[in-house]
Amino acid sequence: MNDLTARTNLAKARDDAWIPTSCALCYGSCSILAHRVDGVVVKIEGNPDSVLGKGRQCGKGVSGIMSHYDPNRLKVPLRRTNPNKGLDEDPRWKEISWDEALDEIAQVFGRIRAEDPRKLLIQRTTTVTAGRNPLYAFGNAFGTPNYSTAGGGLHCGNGAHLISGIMHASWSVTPDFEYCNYAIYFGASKGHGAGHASTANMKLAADARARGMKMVVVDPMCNFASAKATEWVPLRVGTDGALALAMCNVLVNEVAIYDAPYLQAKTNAPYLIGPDKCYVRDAATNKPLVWDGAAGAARPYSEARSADMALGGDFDVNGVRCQPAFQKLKDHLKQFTPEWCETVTTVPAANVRRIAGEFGREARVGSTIMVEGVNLPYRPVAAVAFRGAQGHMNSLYNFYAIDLLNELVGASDVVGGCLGFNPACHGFPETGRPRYVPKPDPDGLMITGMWMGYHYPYPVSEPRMPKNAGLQDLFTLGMTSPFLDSDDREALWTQFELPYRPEAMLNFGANLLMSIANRDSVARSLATYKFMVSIDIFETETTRFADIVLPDCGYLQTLDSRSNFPFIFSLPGGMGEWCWPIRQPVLPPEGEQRRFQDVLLDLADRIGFRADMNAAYNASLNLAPEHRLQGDRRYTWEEICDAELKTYFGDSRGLEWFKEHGLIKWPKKPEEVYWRPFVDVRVPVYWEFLVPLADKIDAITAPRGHKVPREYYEPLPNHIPCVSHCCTAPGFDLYAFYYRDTLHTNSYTMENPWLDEAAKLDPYSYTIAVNTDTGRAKGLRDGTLVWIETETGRRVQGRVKLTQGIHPEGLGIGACAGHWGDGMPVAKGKGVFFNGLLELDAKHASPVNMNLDLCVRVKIVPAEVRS
Amino acid sequence: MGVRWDAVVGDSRFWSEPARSDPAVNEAGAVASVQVWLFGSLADGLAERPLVVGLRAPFSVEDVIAELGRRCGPEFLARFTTSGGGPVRHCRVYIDGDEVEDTAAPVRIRSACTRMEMILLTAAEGG
Repeated sequence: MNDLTARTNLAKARDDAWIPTSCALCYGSCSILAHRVDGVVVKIEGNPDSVLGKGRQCGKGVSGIMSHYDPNRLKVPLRRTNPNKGLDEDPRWKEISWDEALDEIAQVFGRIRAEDPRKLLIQRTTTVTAGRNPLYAFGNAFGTPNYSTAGGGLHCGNGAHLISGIMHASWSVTPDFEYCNYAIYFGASKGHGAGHASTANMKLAADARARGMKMVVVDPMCNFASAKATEWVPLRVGTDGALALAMCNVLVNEVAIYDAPYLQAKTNAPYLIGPDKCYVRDAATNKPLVWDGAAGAARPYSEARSADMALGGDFDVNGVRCQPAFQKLKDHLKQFTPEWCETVTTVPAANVRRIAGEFGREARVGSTIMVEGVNLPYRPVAAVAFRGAQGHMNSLYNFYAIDLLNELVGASDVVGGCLGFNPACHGFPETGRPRYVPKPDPDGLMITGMWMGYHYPYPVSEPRMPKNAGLQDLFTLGMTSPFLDSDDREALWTQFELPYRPEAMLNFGANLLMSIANRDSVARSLATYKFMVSIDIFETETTRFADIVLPDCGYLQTLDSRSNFPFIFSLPGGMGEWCWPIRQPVLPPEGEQRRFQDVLLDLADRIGFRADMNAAYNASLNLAPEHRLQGDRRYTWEEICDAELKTYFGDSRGLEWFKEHGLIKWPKKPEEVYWRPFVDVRVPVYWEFLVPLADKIDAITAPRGHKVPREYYEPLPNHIPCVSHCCTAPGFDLYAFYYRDTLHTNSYTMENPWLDEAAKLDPYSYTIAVNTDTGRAKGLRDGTLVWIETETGRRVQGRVKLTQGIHPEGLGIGACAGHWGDGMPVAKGKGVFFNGLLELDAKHASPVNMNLDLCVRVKIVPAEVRS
Repeated sequence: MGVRWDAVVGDSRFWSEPARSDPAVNEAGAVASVQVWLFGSLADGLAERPLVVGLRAPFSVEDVIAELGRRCGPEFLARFTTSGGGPVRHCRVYIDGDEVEDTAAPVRIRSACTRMEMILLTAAEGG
């Protein structure tokens, strides 16, 4: 019996218990202990037994108690009585019973399912990671392909997750904090207050800095990571990829530091590229050819020793002139000189050379280290990126160029290098589950072993005439789509002959009016839905467009057998332990609140597709044969959770075991964490597959008047300016961007009074950060009320905060602030609604991965002058 | 000091696939009955569930899918197959409860009536 169990047992008699469960104030889902006394939660602490947080909590987690007890929580189902929908329309709610609500929903959804299930869109927040499986199981069973994660996916996911998946077989990347000596962050904050495995990484990052890890942060704002960095490198907004390309050039062409054995054995660098930019393939096997130096001939990559594969030179193979991909890359990089880089990014050329040289030398190319008795490659450098670098038109190339830094020096999923979050797991020792590991495709390139979507980032799916309203099945490198809400969505649907139109939306907690782009565009989209159901904690701005609102249980009232996604999302990378925590109820529902998981099962029963729902859970939870849900039996949510836990941890460790213990953990092995040397897969340093992909998309779109912009589909990365970089209108001299405040999660936590109080004490959370020199030259001072205006006339208002900690051309705003609805009165009127500046159309989305362009050229107009 | 990456790869069996304790019992030439259970969008518009098909062993999941195509038509197949004839990656296939990784491999028949389940999962995701 451990201390926790003892404490829990002693307290049983008088309801004084510490319940192990999981936070949900952000998608990090850290493990917590909730202290309940006489039916009231009086304190929340980090669970020291868990790897997820390691006993630590951030300010948001500590404050969760205030979100739970917020008197503005929804407590009863509501029915809209005002048929008109709009930003200024009062829904005129009427309280209704659960039976009335679910009967009406079942009737409408049932009709839609019979007509065409694709007319239903399922929308969810990313804040609650555990929401994905029940919501997607419902959608899979219903039969709709249409999902969205609103701004949570559209702003951060399309580039970061795609490229982390292709290059590291994981949802995101992080430095191997325990061994890394030199980390470069490009618009990322891993270990500094937010993101996947947030609090666990905070400790790891802090320990690494104390140990002496040098941390260089490339960011237009000296923010949460930069403030703790060894060096802050301010740059022009949206030019991270240009800097990375110049650094790659320095490494390869100036100082000649790269890991040739790694490139030969673990990438497609030796694959021969023909004049058509594609692989030269073996006629018999169709495998890509390499030049085998020992044989003096071209051979399929699988038949030559890696050490004999040429990385440079010109060759003739059966009359075709060709070069290894690395030669192509090396020559391509020459155009990105540090001097060119300075003109694009404003980072001095000398600094580009110095930082690239430091990165290369610190990589210790060729070295090895023993970890728990296993000899492994040692590359203690990492280049990581996230939202800041990839939230742009050139999202894909930015992230691709940054990751090339890791690939060039072999610092990819090895000791000290850039790690994917746990891409390979040998499974719990007693069951061997979950077991996943990357594997090669026929070209030898890596297919991820685990993924949060079911499509995998690579190999890229075949484009087709779209059946998805988001057009992801046409633009197949995209995940979350802007075209569900964009101003030009109807034109695109018509152009690409979408055979139906979305009619109904099931929304789980997403406040898309605030999280995607300007509210007018999203409001127009929302108003077109004939029927909208919103499952919510609070009445958000988006809730007010719903026809029926269902009051959800909060994170202290609900049950999830997987509070995190195993293990590529929230479990920290690096050595340590595997850890699977659950979320369990600490408190009962209040009023008529119901768990959304139960509501979805109830709806499936009322509509009549429980057998499909059971099949969807069997597949999405990957339940073992002996625990699969059978036929149309009406399982409870508890029974489904029990089946999942027994699948992975054996019959003796079902839900009751987990309720008592909260989590299970076991040691990681070096071969799992540093899996790359042990698994025969390669990653692309030359994205050859983009060439045929563009051809296939173009074959569909060109006859319908849409030419694929080929510059976005070249196999080697380039710097492509954003729309904001091309603005020539006089006076629009600043680049506005948003950043994720560590005090808040999306728009949700703005309602939390403790976090609001902390944000008010912070000089930046609710203000507009402007460079001191720039601001003074414009006659601005701290507190000046200003309008921020775009070239298209969009504008938001706020008060200026002058700081030297921002690039002279930058203008920084904390994300997702500026609530205007009455349903979250603490949040109302706080901060600046940055997204009000963003356009929402194809012109402002990446033609490759559909990521929305999140920087915008603006001018500052003092509000007093205007009024 | 240096280490050959390919040499490291060659020395490890850590990630070798575990041996299966479930040998195939396909009797070549025998006709097997397969109950095909389609769920979610794959069941949309189909009058019956399960569909029952008879195939001569050995046969693969892709053979079953081809037979379904003959019965249900090309529009049905287009919902979940690639140009190569196999299911798209977000289609999950189970034979008697076990997930099928290689849809071109012979199906392991364990009983007189094999149960095959298919469902399309989510093709897109954010984060």
